[in-house]
Amino acid sequence: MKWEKLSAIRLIEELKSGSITSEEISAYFLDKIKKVDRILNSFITLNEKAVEEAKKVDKNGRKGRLAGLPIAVKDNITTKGIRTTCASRILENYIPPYDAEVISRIKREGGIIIGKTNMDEFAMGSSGENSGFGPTKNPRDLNRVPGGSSSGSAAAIAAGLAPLALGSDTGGSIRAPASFTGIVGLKPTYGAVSRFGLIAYANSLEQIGPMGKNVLDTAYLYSIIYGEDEKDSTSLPSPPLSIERISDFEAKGVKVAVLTDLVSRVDEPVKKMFERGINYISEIGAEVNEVKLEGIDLALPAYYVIACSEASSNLARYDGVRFGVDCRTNLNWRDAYKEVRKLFGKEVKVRIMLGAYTLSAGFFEEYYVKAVKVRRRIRDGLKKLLKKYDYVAIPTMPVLPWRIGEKLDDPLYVYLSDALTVPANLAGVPAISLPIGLADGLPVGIQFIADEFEEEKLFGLAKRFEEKAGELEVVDL
Amino acid sequence: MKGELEYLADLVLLELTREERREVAKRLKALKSILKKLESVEVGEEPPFLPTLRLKLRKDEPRAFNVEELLSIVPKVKGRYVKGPKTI
Repeated sequence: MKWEKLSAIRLIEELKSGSITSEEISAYFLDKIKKVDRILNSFITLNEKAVEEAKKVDKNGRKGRLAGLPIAVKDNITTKGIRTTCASRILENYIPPYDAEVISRIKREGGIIIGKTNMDEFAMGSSGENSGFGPTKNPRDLNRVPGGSSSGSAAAIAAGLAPLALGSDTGGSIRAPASFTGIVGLKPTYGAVSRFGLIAYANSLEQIGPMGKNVLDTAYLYSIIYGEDEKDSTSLPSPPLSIERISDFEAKGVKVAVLTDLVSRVDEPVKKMFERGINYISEIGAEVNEVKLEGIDLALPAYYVIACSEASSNLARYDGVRFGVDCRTNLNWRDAYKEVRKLFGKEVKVRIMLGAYTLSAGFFEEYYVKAVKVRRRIRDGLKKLLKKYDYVAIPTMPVLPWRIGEKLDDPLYVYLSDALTVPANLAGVPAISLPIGLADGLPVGIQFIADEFEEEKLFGLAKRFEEKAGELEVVDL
Repeated sequence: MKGELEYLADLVLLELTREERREVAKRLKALKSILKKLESVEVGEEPPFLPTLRLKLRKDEPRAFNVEELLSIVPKVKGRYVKGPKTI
């Protein structure tokens, strides 16, 4: 039996019925990872105790809503006793003494952490190429990038190496790889999922979110991880989410706004596929409206100022004393600090430096103050739009996945590819990416955005859309 | 650019190799070209947007803890004691 071909929800049914044990399914996926991941490089660390933990879940009667299902976790989410590197050589040997809140919730429901997935170092990147442990490959075309920064989680799902995965999204890091690999990924409302245990890059923008083969699987994992947490002072209570209501969602008559300014700037193959997506939206009975949102072109500069400013502050802690590799040296403090920080990759260094620049005297008013005010305008504009319309629809990525290494000499191309995903992070609203289909054999994703805490509504429309567009099959490698 | 690059690197306690300098300069230039759009933006007295923090302090009451559990996360343990590096 090829278990990776089944949905996560079906696998849980199989586990609950006893037709397969957690030990068998965990061993199956671990074995597949060991065989296939030499090609993909989607995992940094495997949980060698996964089978042992699965046996315990079996012994206890496969209780909980996950009933012993293996789950892959992005390597910037802390896991007690399992190395957590953020794909950085500076955290190469870091073994956290505690679980992130989302991990505790998964374990409470009987989930098995199968391993930690590759990513752009400290979640800084859109392609998956900026990892200190080597780039991840896109299972749909091994010469191409899988998108980032949750590159490993997306590639693992698309290649059938895990039934479900966690990612994190600061400016599109769940949705971009979901789009490039042809899977489903949700960036939740800011505050809906606890960030306790998420290693910080840009606190005011990032959220942990679920990734899966299809909409219902993704919704199912979300239903386990969301909810207020007293350990995260930015977390908020969410309305209850029902998988049944998502399955029964009625799309007839809902109003969808298409942001024409953003759509006009995407590459031709993506535009063509997006037009097909718009037709699907109409065919499921939704009303499509073309609209403009003033100032949306300022989202990208505002995002980079805010994200890099926060990164510059957050990453100051890696000094080899409190965090980072142990640096026993006779050097003075300043030189010792520099010695440890040599281990940061190039992209991390760039963003720390840009953050110091935008926060420095003389540039603070010009960049940071303007960026947080522009953020207010974008949030107000999007929320006003979402009062008139139920959803906003745009492509997830403006381009098709590029070849690995192809854009190393064109960093602007890579930075500009975030243009369609950052508005949702700035506004704090939820956004989901799911496949429309293939263009030139490569996946193209559509992104739906809804108002804060409307994840159920978002999954509902996505489910109806998926029935029209179809799921993409797991790749056999 | 070179002077500014070195100044910025030193400010954030980073050292760049010659190869990194070239690459970092290229990427910084690309990002700054994106940021340029903000320079012409007029902003008024509108409040900035930052997510709300809801500071909820737990009650200040003593909590029991499990010594074995705490010691299980310590790298080196001798009996029920934490073993630290030799300093003298």
